[in-house]
Amino acid sequence: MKIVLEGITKEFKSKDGSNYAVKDLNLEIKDGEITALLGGSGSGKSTTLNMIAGILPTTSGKIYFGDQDITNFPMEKRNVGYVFQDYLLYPNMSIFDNIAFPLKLQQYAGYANKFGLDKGASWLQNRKSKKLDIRQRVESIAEILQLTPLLNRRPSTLSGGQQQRVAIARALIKEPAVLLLDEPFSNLDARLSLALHEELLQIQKRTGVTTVYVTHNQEDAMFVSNSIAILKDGTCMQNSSPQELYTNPRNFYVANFIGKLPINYVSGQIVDGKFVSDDAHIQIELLAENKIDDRQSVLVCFRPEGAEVAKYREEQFEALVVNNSFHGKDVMLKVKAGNTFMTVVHTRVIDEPQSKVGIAINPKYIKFFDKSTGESLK
Amino acid sequence: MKNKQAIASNTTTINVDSDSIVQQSTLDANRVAMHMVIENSLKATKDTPITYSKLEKIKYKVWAKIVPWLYISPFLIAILVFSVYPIFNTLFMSFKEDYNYINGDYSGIGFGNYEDLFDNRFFIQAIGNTLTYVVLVVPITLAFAILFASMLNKQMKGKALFQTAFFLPLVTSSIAIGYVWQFIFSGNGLINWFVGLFGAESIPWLTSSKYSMFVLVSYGVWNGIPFATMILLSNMQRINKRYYTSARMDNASSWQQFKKITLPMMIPTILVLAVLNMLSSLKVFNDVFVLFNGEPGPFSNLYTLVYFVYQNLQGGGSRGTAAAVAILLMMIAFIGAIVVFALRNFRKINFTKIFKRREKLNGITSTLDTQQQ
Repeated sequence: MKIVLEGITKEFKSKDGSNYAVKDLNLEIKDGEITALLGGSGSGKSTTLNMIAGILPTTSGKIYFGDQDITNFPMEKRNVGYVFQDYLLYPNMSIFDNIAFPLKLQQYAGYANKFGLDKGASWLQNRKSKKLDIRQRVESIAEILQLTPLLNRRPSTLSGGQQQRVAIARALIKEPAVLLLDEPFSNLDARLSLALHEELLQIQKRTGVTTVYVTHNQEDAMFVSNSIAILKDGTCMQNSSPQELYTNPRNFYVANFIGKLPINYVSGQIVDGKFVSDDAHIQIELLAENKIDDRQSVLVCFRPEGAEVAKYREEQFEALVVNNSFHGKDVMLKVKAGNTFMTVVHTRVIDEPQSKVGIAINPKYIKFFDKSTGESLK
Repeated sequence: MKNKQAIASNTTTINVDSDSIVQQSTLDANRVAMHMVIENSLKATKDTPITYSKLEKIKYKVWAKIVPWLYISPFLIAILVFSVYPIFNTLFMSFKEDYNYINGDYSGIGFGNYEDLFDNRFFIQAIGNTLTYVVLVVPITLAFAILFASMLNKQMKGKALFQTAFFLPLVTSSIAIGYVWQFIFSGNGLINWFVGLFGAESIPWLTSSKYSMFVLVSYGVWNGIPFATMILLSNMQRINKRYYTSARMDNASSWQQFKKITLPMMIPTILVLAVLNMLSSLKVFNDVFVLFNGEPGPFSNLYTLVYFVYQNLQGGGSRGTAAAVAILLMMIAFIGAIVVFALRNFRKINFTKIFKRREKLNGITSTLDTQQQ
C-alpha cells in the first residue's frame, strides 16, 4: 500500500517554548517498495515512523495509506506490523505462541468460513478450526522466515538474529498493510547484520509488503532499500534510489552525508566559464552542459573515486601527498592541493616524503553546489 | 631501540610540516618506551620466583580455611543461638512425655504428646480454623493486591493520596488497628450504623460464632494487602511499557493486555508473595487476640494453632503439647511452601508432545468433518 505523508509536523511543547521533531515533512512511499528513513540523531526519523504507526499523534498534516486518510485512526485500526528495536518478544510464551499472538487476539473465523463450518457448527468445532487455522498460518510464515525448528523454544534461548526474525514473523502474520521496522540492524554485530540485509530483502520480495525502516547507518540503507529518504531537522532532504542519491545529490548536505568516504569539496568562484578555487590553485574547465552564472560562489564536489593521480588523463593541478591508507585493492591518498585537503583513489602506496602528484578529476563526476544555499546547480 | 625502529618503518606516515603528524610520532615513541619498561619488569618477576617454607605454606592454608568462617560468624552465631537451637530444643521437648519445665523431669520419650493432641477437641478446631483462614486470606489478599496495584499503576487523580492510604496499615501498630476494628465491628459500631441506615437489624459481628470468622478473615486481608500491593506495584512498573504498545497494535483489549502480558510477567512475584502470606497467615494470633479481647473467639470457637500454643505455654497446659503443635505447624508451613513452588514448576512441564498428539487427532477429526459435508 502506498504511504503518503502530507506536510506532517510534530511539535513537542516544553517550558521554554516548543521544538519541532518533524516539520512540514512531505514524503511518498511507493507501494511494494522498501524504503529507509536515514538521518542522524535528532533528525526526526523515529518520530516519523511512530507517527506512521500511530504511536505518536501528529500535530498537523495528513497521512494516507493508499487513498485513505488515516491521520486520526488509532494504532490498532491502521493494520501496521511494527518491529521494535528491542523486538519485545513475550518471554513467557514459546516462539509459536509469540508469532500466533496477534491471531489469537482476533475474533476471526477464516478457516471456518472457508469450509462453511461456522453455520450450525458448535462452538467447540469453531474453536478447533480456528486453532488449526492459526497453526497453519504460523507454520507457513515460519517456513518463509526459516523458524520452523525453533517454534517450540522460548525467546531467551534464541540468538539476536533469530529473535528479530520472530519479531518480523509476528508483525507479518496479520498480513499488515505496511511493515515498519525501528532500527532493525542496530542491535546486531556486523556479520549478522550483513546476513540480515539479504534476509530482509528476501522477505520483502516474497511477501511484497510495503516496508519502511529507520536507520542511522547509511551502509545498511544503501544495501537494503529501493529508495532512501534522508531526513534532517525533521524535513526530507531527498527521497530517491540509492544510486541517484550517490551520483545526483540534490544539495550539499546529502552529498556530504552519503558515502563511506567523505566527499571532497573545494570552494571557489566561476570566472570566465572556469572554476577557480579561493586560493587560485585549482582551476577546472566547465563542461558545456554546466550552465552556471559567472562570478557565482560555488562548492565543487567530487567523490574520491572521481579523481585520480594523473596518468592517462591530463593533469589539472598539483598536490602534496600527506598520508596513505591501505584498503586492500585501493589506496586512499590524502593530498593537499593549495590550502584544501582531499582524498584520492590510487593503486599503490606513495611513501616518498613530500612527493608531489598531479591530480586529474573526471569531469562527469563533478557536482556544483551554490555556496550560500547548498542547492545543486545543473 | 630495535623495536622503535621497526615500528617507525611500519608506518607509512611521512613527515610533512604538519604539527599533528609530528605529535603522532612522538606519541608512538612514548608508547614504545612504556611497553619496554613493562616488559622488563615482567621479566624480572619471572626470573626470581618467590619461595615459601613448608611451615609458611601450612600456616597459609589453615588461615585460608579460618578466615571465611570469621567473616560469617556474627550472623552464624545469631542464627545458631536464636533459630537452630530453639528448633531442635522444641523438637526434643515435643517427645518428652509429662515434661516439667521447671525441674526438667519427664516420664518417658515417645509420641505421647502427639497422640494426646488428636484427642483434643480444641486442637482439631485450631487446625480447621487455621487452614480455613489461610485458604481464604491468601487468594483474597493477592486478588485485591493485584487489583489495587494495577489501579495505582495507571495515571489517575489523587494517586498519592490513595498510595498513602493503602500503605498506612504497614506503619501502624497492629494492636492499635485491632482496637479500631473492634470499634468498627462492635454492636453499635460503624458497620452496624451503616446497616441500620437501610433499616436492617444490627449484626452481632464479634459476639456470634457465625460471623467471627468473616471478621477475622477481612481483618487479615486488609492487613495483608498493603505489602503485597507495594511489591506487585514495583514489579508492574518494571514491565516495559512498549509491550503494551505492541499488543495494542495487535488489537488487544486492555483485559487481554492484562491477561497476556501483565499477569504472566508477575507470576514469580505472585508466588513468592503467596508463600510469604501463607507463612504469616499460618501464624495468625495477634488478630484473634486483639479482636476478641484476648479470647479465642466469642464462644472459644476461633482457636488457631498459635493461639493453642500460646494457651498451653501460658498456664494449665503442658509445654510438651505446645512443642508438639509448634513442630506440626512447622511441617504444615514446609509442605505448603513446597506445594506453592511446585505450582511454579508445573508450568515448565513439556506439553508439546501431548499438544502435538492432540493436534494430530484434531486434524483427523476436522478432515473427517469436511469430508462428510
